[in-house]
Amino acid sequence: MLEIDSLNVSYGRVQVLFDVSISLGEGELVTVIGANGAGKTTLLLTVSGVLRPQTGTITLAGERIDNLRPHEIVGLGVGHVPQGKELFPAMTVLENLEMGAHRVKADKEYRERLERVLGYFPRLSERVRQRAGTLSGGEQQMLAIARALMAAPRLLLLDEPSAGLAPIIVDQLAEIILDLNRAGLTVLLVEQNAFLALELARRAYVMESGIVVESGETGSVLESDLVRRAYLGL
Amino acid sequence: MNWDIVFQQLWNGLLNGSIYVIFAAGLSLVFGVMRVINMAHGELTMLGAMLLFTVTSGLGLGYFTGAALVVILMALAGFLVNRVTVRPFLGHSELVVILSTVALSFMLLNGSLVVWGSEPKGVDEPFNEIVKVGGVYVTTAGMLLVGVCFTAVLGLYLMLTHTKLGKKTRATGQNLLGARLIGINTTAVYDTTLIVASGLAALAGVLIVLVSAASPNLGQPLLITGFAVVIVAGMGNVAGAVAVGLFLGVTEALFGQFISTYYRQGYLYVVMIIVLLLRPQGLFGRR
Repeated sequence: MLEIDSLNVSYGRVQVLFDVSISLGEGELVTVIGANGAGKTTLLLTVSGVLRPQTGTITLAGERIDNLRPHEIVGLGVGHVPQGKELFPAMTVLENLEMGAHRVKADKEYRERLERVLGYFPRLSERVRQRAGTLSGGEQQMLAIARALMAAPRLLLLDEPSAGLAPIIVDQLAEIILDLNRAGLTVLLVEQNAFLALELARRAYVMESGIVVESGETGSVLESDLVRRAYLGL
Repeated sequence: MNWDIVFQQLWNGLLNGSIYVIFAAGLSLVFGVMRVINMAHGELTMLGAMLLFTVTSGLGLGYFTGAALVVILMALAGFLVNRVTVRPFLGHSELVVILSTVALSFMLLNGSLVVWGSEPKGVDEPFNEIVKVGGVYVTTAGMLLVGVCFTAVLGLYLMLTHTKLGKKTRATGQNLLGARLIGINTTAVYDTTLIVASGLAALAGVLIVLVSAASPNLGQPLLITGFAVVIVAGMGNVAGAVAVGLFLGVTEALFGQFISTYYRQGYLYVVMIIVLLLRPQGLFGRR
């Protein structure tokens, strides 16, 4: 589904990603873990076309996307739930969802999607008329995911969905992410919370200072000394 | 108190206020969506008025045909305003964009002085009958001005709140990254925003000639007044700009009549300074 091959990305003169290669098969749930500043967010923003790689290629279902603009990449079926949620705070929950599905022309299809997406997030359906800026942190995270799902993506990029949320909310989100994946959605989950990420994903990549230092089945990544020391504190 | 004078000034204030409203709405739209302070907005209005003079007196077009042509041309020019003076500088500091639009405004102003000279030019109006309503003298051209201003601003409001394009525009203004990540073509949104804003600016220009002469010097004072309105209302708040534009137009006229003609211009800025001191985000602004 997604092939990232020897990606090099810089902000001005500062290089952030070094020869990063990551691949996701269709229907997989793969995680990238690493400390703050490891380049995880940069990686996702490059996949979405917000940042341009210096060298390297990104291929989505056989099609090169590294030279496309963000709205073209969304059009090909990539949903991105960014780290800061980046909602439209003065718009209602419903308007945020409507914006997520702005490409949908037919009213019927829009309603079906809305129903399906709200099915995952009952808390949001109680708050459709509320302004997004007035939601709690957990609800905002749910809305950010729901908004991305309204575009009916094939691949979902999730950037630290657990950041700043209470453990009980994190558990709910984890359930939803698993449900979505079981329903066939390919998920690339970036997390600082290694416990959560390794619990959800079958395969994992570990990033440090812009380099992939470890990768494989979550079981073997969990066993590696590096991860035990640095991320799990064992 | 002579109530006829009060009502006459209310009418005069309504005429000025309507121009403030349509002018400030465009200025506020560009700031609200793009976080760009368009220093050339006043000169776009001026150009609207001057081009109308040329197409009516030079090409012999009637007022309405000429006005429609000028507004459409100026709206299309808004695309160039974005691509030439705004978009190339967006990644840099906000100051750079301000300076590039200042540069555009100087070019338009001085270019217009070369082309048209500094003499005010009268434009033939379609009709200008004076009607006495009660004790108040109103002109039919003035009624047209008020009607068109409010229709245009209402249209803008409905566009922003009820159409998909309008909602995408508001979304882009509220969160640029969020808009890009859900696949909104924000470049197209910025193009459209400046097209609409330039069209509104030019519309203000072709309406101004209904109540005063066209002159290359009309843009600068209007820009300052426009900023007073936008700052008092809260930067980027289009609906607030409408209320404040109307309020300032009317109270300015009353101030000029009953307190001081000399300090009439100063009135707007005193209001602006007081609002900035007490409520820096503006009356309707959010922090």
